Amino acid sequence: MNHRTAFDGTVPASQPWGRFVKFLALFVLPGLFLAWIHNSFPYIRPGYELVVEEKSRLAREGGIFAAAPAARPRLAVFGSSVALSGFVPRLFEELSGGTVDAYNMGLPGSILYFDQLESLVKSGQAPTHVVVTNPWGGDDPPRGLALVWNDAALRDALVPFHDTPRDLVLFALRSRTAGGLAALYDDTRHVLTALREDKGFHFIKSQSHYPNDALPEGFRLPSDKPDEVLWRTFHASGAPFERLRRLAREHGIKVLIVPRYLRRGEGAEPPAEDTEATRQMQPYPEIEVVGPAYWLLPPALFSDPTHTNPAGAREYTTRLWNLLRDRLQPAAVAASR
Amino acid sequence: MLFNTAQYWLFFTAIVTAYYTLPARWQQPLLLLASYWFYMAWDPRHGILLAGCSLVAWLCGVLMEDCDRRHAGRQDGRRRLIFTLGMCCLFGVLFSYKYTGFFLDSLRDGLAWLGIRAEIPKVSPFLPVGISFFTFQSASYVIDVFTRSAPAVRSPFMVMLFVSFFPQLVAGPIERPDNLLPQLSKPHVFDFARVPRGLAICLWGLTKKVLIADMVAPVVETVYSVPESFPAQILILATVFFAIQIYCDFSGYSDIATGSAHILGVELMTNFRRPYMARSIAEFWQRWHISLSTWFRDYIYIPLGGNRVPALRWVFNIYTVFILSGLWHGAAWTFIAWGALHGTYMLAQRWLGLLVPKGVQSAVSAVIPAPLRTALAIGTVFIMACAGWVFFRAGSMADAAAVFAGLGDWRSFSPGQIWSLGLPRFEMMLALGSIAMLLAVEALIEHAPNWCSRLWAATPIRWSLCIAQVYALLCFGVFREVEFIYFQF
Repeated sequence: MNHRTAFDGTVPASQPWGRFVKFLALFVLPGLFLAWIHNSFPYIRPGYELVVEEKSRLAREGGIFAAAPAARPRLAVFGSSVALSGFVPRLFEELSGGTVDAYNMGLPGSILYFDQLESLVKSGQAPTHVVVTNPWGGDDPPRGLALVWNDAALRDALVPFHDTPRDLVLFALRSRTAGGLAALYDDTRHVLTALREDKGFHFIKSQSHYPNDALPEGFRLPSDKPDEVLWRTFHASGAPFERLRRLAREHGIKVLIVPRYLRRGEGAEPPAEDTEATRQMQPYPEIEVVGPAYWLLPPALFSDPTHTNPAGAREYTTRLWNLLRDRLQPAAVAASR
Repeated sequence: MLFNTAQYWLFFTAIVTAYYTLPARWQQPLLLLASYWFYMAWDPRHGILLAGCSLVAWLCGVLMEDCDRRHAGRQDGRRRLIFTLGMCCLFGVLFSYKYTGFFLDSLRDGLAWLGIRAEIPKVSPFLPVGISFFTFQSASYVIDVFTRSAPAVRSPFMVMLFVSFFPQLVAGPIERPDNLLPQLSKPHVFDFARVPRGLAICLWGLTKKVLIADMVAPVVETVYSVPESFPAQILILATVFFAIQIYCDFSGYSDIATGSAHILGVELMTNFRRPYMARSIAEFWQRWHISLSTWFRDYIYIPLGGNRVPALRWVFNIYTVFILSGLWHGAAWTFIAWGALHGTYMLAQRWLGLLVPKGVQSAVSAVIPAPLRTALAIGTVFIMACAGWVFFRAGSMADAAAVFAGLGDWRSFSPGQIWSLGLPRFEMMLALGSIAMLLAVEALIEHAPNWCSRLWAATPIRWSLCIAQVYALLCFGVFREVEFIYFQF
């Protein structure tokens, strides 16, 4: 019962190593082409990638809190795309009467955001308050030999252009309704300009498929758990957590864990205090848990099942200001440091 | 250590390098060590179980052969006793790990149904990876020695290697002694031509696993976790996706096993031959998981009398084989239902063929053109297979019933639901495109094998296809560690 398949074509036995080298040479050609596109046309990439890259650059090179007077509280809101699309720094500053500097450090698709916090500190932009909306990862991303145990990270390291074909297709498809390739390319470039102007806030328009960027009333997903409180689990060990504590201690940063937002029906109404997170963080005085585990917002304030639309972002930011206002009075800040 | 991870390929490269560099006498010990290393990467304790099963098989073989020597080849009671004890041991291990919980639960439920409350303990499932595969492979050795289809092997290490040969250890193909043992026993010299051929087979397997099976998996998971929440269109989509997922997952594993073994100079048996191109259910079973279906055919169905028995006995034989096949896949009523359904298909196919007069069959053949007839037959078998997959995938009989009940609800569907099944638009399109490509390739190999072979023999085409596959994997593949479905069996 030998395995005979269509793969059993003839492979000439002569000069096998020479053929192997030829094959390798041909093999790298498409890779070189994709790498060239990846590097030459950055704005064909999806917004979330550009957002992460731009915020990481600003954290390293300045442009987040560089111009802030040292006496004013500087608030950096960390989290995933939920924070990115939910926190409006300009509104928060306005609500504070200009006494607070705020920046949205929401990084789409990321639970590892202490690299960016470390960059902020190193570049002289240390915030006075780090506001955390969702749990951080328990481990640092793999580096060096550890990459062998993480295929996705290994692919990212060896083939950084692996998403280019996907990006190209999606870009071409999007361009049909965006005035053509050149217009969309310029638009994407402007998204980053807007991101800088809006101090890191970004409305995720691309995932919105409902009229007026608002989910219909009564919107439900099969994965919703309207009878269950969705507690957060914060890792109180591991390299990222230790890094957060070290940065907080060394630079006098107050870490505030605040509620995230969920869609009404996504989870049950939580108790007024996040007892679970409070219990986990009790031994660490530099970290304080404030408010419930989440706020439930009506579907009309969401542009897709997970992210708020601009009206939802205003609502969330306002709630956040009301929650934190006492902690951000200059006297309170001075006392906490 | 999964085939679809960088870890495996580093491990495999190191083993192949050592295999062909070391003196030939070290090849078998190296393979044995590598196989145990590979298996114990999941849980080192399970290595003891694997070694135990292998040693039981070896001991049975040696003792049965000793009986043969003493009694000049006659079947005596002692030989039969050794065989029985060996089989009890092997299947006892399988039963205790895999079926104890299921039988105790069923007993408790049965007694409760009769109104009897019994304190029967709950057993948490704890299943060593690939246990069904290596116990069946060990059993095939014992049975073959008992029936004198294969000679007993004197070296325990050789039997251990036969049972644990790493490419096919955890998800088959379930090999027979007459195919695998002679190949493992002889030394192998490096043959460069085997490397590209083996890698091409592996690449095709990886493409099926990483680009198709793992891509559609979230849709199947989303729908089958709450089947009562979805309308018929979505349930059908998820079931068709599961049919593709399980085929690509399992045949992908078999391809990687075959390609890896090929590079090591070993030819494994063919496990899949384009099952969704089958034109009847009987043909489907000649193409699907061939190593298991031939195992059941040779060791259970034929000893029971096969089809050369009275009709009622034949019905019993068919149901026995198919229900056992279902149970082999998992200790749950859903798997039993899946097996029983396929048994019913086999009976229906045979009896429909007998009931419809030959004249009517010829008339239908004359009216419907051959290609349309073939397409209809293939489509019908696919739908029947999908109905079976509902039981196979559903978490419980209640979930399976919910899927079938949901097939009546065509009205609550809205196209937007497709995009909330866990797969973004691009990936959904990619999945559909990949499935279309898979079916096109399978149809071409099925209907124009010579043309495919000629095409494959042309270097520029072969190289282009391989390079395209590698880039497709790198750019579009799912790079999470997704276990192969058949590991759980």
